[in-house]
Amino acid sequence: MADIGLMHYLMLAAALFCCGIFVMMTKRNAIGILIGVELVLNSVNINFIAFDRYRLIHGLDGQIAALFVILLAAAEAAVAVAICMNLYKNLNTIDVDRGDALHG
Amino acid sequence: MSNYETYLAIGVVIPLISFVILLFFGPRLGKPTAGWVAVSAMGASCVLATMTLVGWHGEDSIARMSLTAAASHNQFHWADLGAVAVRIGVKLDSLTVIMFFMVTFISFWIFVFSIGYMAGHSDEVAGKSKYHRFFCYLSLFGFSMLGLVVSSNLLFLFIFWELVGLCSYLLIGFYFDKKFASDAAMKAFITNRVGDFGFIFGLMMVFFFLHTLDLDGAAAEFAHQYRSESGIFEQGFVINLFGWQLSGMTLATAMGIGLFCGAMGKSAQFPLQVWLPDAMAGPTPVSALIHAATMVAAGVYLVARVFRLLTPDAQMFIAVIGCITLTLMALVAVVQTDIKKCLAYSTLSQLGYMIFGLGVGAWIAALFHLMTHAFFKAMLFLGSGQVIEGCHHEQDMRKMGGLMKKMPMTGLTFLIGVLAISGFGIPGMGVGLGGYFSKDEILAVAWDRSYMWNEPIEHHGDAGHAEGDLQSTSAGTSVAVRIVPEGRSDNSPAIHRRDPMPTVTRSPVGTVESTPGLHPSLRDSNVSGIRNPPAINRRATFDRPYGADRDVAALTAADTPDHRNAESSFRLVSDPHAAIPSEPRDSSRADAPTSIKAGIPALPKWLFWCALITAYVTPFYMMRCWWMTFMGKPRDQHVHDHAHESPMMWFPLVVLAVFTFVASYWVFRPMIADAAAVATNAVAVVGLDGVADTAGQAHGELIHVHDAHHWLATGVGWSWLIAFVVAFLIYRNGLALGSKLKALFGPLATLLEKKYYFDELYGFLFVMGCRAVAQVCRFFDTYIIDMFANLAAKITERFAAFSGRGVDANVVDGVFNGLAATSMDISNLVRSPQTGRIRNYVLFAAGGAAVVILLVLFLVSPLAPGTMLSAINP
Amino acid sequence: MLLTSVVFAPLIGAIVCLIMPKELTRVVAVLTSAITFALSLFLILPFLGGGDASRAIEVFGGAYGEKLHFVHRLPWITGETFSIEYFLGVDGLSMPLIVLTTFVALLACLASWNFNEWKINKSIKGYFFLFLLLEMGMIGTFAALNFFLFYIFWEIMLLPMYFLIGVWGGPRKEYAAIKFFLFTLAGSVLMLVALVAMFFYSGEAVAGGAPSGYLSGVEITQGTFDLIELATNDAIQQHFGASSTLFLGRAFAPLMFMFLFVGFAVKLPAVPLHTWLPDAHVEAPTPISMILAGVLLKMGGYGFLRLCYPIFPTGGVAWAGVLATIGVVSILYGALCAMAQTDFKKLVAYSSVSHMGYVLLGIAVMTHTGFQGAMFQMIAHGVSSPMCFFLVGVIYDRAHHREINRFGGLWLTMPKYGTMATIGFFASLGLPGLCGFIGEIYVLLGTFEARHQFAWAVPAAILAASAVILTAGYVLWLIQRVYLGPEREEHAGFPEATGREMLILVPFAAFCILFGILPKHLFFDYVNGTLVNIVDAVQAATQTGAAYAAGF
Repeated sequence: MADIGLMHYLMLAAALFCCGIFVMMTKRNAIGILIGVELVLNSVNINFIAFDRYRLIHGLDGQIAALFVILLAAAEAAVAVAICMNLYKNLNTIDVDRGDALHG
Repeated sequence: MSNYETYLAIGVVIPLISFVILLFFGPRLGKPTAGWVAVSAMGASCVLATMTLVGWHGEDSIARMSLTAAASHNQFHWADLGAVAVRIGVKLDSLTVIMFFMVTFISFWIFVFSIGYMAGHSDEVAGKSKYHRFFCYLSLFGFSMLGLVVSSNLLFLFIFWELVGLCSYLLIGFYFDKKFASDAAMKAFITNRVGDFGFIFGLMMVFFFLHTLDLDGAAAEFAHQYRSESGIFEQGFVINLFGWQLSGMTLATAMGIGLFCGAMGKSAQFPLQVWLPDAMAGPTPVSALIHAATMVAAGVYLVARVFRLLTPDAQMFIAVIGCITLTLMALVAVVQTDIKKCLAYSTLSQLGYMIFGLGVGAWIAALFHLMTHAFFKAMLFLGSGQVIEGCHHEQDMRKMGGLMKKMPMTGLTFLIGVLAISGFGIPGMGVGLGGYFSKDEILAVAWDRSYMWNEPIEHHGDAGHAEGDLQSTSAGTSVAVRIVPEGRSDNSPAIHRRDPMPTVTRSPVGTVESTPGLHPSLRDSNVSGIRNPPAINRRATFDRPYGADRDVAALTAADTPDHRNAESSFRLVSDPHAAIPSEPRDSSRADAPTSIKAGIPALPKWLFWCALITAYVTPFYMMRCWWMTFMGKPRDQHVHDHAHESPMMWFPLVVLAVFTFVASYWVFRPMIADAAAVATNAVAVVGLDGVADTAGQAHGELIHVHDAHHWLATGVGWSWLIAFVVAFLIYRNGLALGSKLKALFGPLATLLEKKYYFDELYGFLFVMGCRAVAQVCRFFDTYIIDMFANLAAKITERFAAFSGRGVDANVVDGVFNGLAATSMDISNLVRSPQTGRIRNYVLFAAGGAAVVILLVLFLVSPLAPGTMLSAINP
Repeated sequence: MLLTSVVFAPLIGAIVCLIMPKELTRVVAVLTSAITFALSLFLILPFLGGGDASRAIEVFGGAYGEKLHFVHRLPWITGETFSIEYFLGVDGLSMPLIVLTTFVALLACLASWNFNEWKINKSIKGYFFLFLLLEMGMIGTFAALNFFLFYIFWEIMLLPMYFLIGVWGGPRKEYAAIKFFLFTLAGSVLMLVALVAMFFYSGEAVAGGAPSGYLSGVEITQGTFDLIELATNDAIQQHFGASSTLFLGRAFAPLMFMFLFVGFAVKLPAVPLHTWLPDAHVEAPTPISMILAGVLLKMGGYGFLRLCYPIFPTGGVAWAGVLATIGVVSILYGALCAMAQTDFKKLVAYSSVSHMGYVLLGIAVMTHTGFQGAMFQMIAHGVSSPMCFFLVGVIYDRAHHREINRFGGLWLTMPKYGTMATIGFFASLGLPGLCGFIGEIYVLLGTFEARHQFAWAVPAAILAASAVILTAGYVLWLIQRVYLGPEREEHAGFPEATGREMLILVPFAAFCILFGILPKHLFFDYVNGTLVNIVDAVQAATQTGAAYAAGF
């Protein structure tokens, strides 16, 4: 077995990404979808860090980008949870399929 | 700033202050007080004007020149037109001073009259008092008119020009709850605007040719262009206007006619005369002040001011227009029965005389006529106002008659006015009223131009005849001009004139020369277009340095009735020493070519005859008017019983009557003659040189034209008497004979009563025409232009029909509804995958991404998959 | 910084509006506009004394772009091959327009004070939020000197306007709003094409590196959005102006000029792209009409002067005849259409078309006087036409209709208002002594002045001058029908103009008069230098342009 290289990280990220996508596609529960989103974001983070580590990105940009993504994820989670709360308040459920009021 | 300038400037501003006070505090000041504010303001201006007049009268001509020059330096930089500076200041010369006095004096007395008039007249419009408004507008008018008079710049002249138009609009429409009043106001303003269109065109041409809008600067530049080898008047100067080859002369003529169009509007010359009779809808003092004495004369004033920019053709045009107006309008006046309308038509005719006078070159006479006319016509109108007021707002002369006993003062002063306008005087004795001298003088010049115009001959006085040294200072050049009195022999001017001299050319350049050199104090003035002018010195008759004979001033000498002159005929001869010594002289240009500068043509003879015949018509209709109103038997008892007069109103009448008697000739005529020297010197270059030659007069030598044409003097001189007798014979026994005569003339009388159907013609042609075009435009805008927008929408909509909705009512509904529907349709199509379910979106997104990646890897990207990976793995 | 605060002060106010309770919204809005106005007055300071020849260079610089005031520039969006700057600055061109914007916005805000009395009582917060957002967009457009930024502000302006008309408008508000939106959008699409093309072509021009046109010691190596750089850089100018530079197989400069022109002509509006204007005006609420007429229409003229002419002078020469024709047609056609209207507001709207035609004509002839006139006409119209629209609004508030023929005798019913109306409409008529006259006469003289260059200049000037008759015709006829005549019974109860209304009308009237009396001291001294610089630059390029026009 060779050293763990960039390829491995990318594989991991891809796997994680696919998991996230899968979760988002299958879940009807809002929180579940949120978790899927987080998975996707984190897979991206892994990519960033990996590229950065292997000097494929100039300077510390990759790490900084990852930090941004984390920040963004936090903000997004806050907003998403707030939406969930509102959804629940209005519909008494967090099944996203039920929230179809805007469906034309 | 000299005292005079300050006086005039303050005199202009005082009415403005009064206007502002009345505008803001008018309602609080109440009925009589508001009027007195305006009166005292105008009175103050009048005092200043009188001080200026008296002081100015005492100055000798040299002092006047230097004062004029000083005033032209003292200007306020108002704006820049491109690189050309527009400066405003007080134009201080004899003409200004005398016009200023005339305007303030007449305004003052009319304001006084107005207080009396408004006391008995309704100042209410629909139950609300507009008393202060009336005086407010009058003050504004005073300000604007005075501003117009003192403006040294054409642009500013135009601004005040429009402001007086505005005041006229507001005052004609004073009783604006009446439809006819607001109609008349609108008609006046719009007709004036038609003239102003020409005026603006003229301004553009002046700016175009002469690169300045300053009156003096423009005149100097005009003269300079005229002399210059490369000026606009040269053969080579041609403007190509879409294939038309326009020579500089043509364009300069167009410029003059353009400026004159403004005067046509304001002075109500044919064919823009239609508004003035209607303007009588305004209160009578307004008619007297604005539509008889001052504002309508502004057109004449303008032509006099820009006289130096007129080419011979333009002058001819002016003469023709003036002649048409004076003839046609006098004829209409004959059949009028409304006392104010009758006076209005007489005003039109008299304005025609003035314009005609300017057109034929009788500058002094025309302005003199303006002055005298202002006094007696104001008086006549005020008299008619008194009559109307006294007769309980009755304006129809057929219902009057025999008012002399009831209103003696009015009748008497009215009679004086009638005499003055008729040209009352005794030929051969030099005795007469103002109208006598001024009208005769115009006719004499016209006769001269028509019949004595064989070979304009140029004379040379010998050096010893140097009489005055006249410096016309303008924004760029200082022209030293000498006046050479020639043909001093009073008794034989005509003979002298015809004296054939082989060396004579009609070229004005030969006779009028000047040496433009940059005045040191003006050398940096911001006037473009004056290029190092050639110092022409071809026929210098004098060697004495500039200023040596300054003290010899005889400009206003010998100014007695017996020394009336046909024209401001004087000779301008260049003085080589006038140029600043340091100024480089281009001697190679000493014999600049004379080129195309032809003299002015003789006048068509019909012009003179029309004017002459009208001189007989005028006394007739004026006497008819007076007789019908004041003499004979009362025709309407009710009106007669009511008639009375009030001192507040007849006192101004008396003052004006006195002035009509006294001041007209002895004060005004010399002053105007003095102004002529400066105001027309440049035009002498082009237009008046012929007259100057023909009359062969020095300016300081005012020749009695009457003596030269004695039959004319007698014929015109007695016209008033003949016409009076005719009028008396027709109207002495009431109206019966008049009606019979009218029936005799039938269609002609109808034509006159209908004012030649001008109103109908214009109403149909222009008003209806314009509205029709406007409707077409509106239609075009609403249907055609929008149709294209709709068309675009429709095409889209057709396209949308394929989306499954089918072609239905949407298509018919049209324009943007269709577009909206289209967007609906498209969005319907697009939204079908929009399920609103996140998992679907994620699926699409992920699937899409996968497809894109695959495409990139295998189709688009030049990189094979292997290299991609190797790029990742370092 | 000052300029930035002027631009964004309305935005802050807009946000505060959202937070504040409903009752305070209008107070906040008025305060915000007032503060913005006050701040914008400081922009005038460096221009004081500009009429003085000795100070002129100091104030305006010797050439276009050489002297900018209140410059605020920061790198904003930067990439390897491009950099977009946040670049604000004022010169004689933008300063008066910014001040005009804040001035009109303040008065329009006051005109919205009786919002609750409007029958359509919808979200007051939204209204003022959008209003202030609009103000920000307008100021930003005038202040931006980077094309990208300019474009963003330009589009920011569009949206609030759409809603303000579409939500708070009259009966056919949706139609009018969509029409406005589509027309303007169609124009901005072409502008966007020009934006991108100019960036890439300027990149080509300076590929090897070229000294900056106006920043000493700076070398630029890549395409730029900098409006001043585009106009002043020799390399870029040469490349743009060369007839071998093609875009879509056409010569670059005239084509780009036309693209930009269409975008701005829609805003101006020039015939035949004007039909949105009457509809928008008729449906928009009064304060929005004031903004629309007072400021939005000036964007077009400003665009010509800031973008079209300095950057593509050769295009200006190539299209001069077309532009002047459009200008003259707008003047006459607008006046004739105005004459035929029976809707009060529509009449004023068409008169705007006519007046803005003078702007186009004055610009098209490319003379000093013409540019001066166009610029003055913009400001004059910016004062007089909002006043006219407000005058209409005052009447509409009372009568709830705008049919000219159903009015009459209003001067008797409301004397103070009648006086104000006289001033406003006479200013619009172009009466000397009031502001409308100066612009017109300058444009006419300027057009005449261009006779050496263009054979059509003289007939164009004469045709345009003939509009003075038409204008007098429709304005006086309007005054007669609405204000003169006997008092009508149905108007008897109309109250006189209130204090608030007078507060709005009096400043407008004052400026109408002041600008007419002292154009140089109140206006030209502050702008002339910049205009002269632009004209000089354009004229210098005319030599190449003449040969160019023949080839195109």
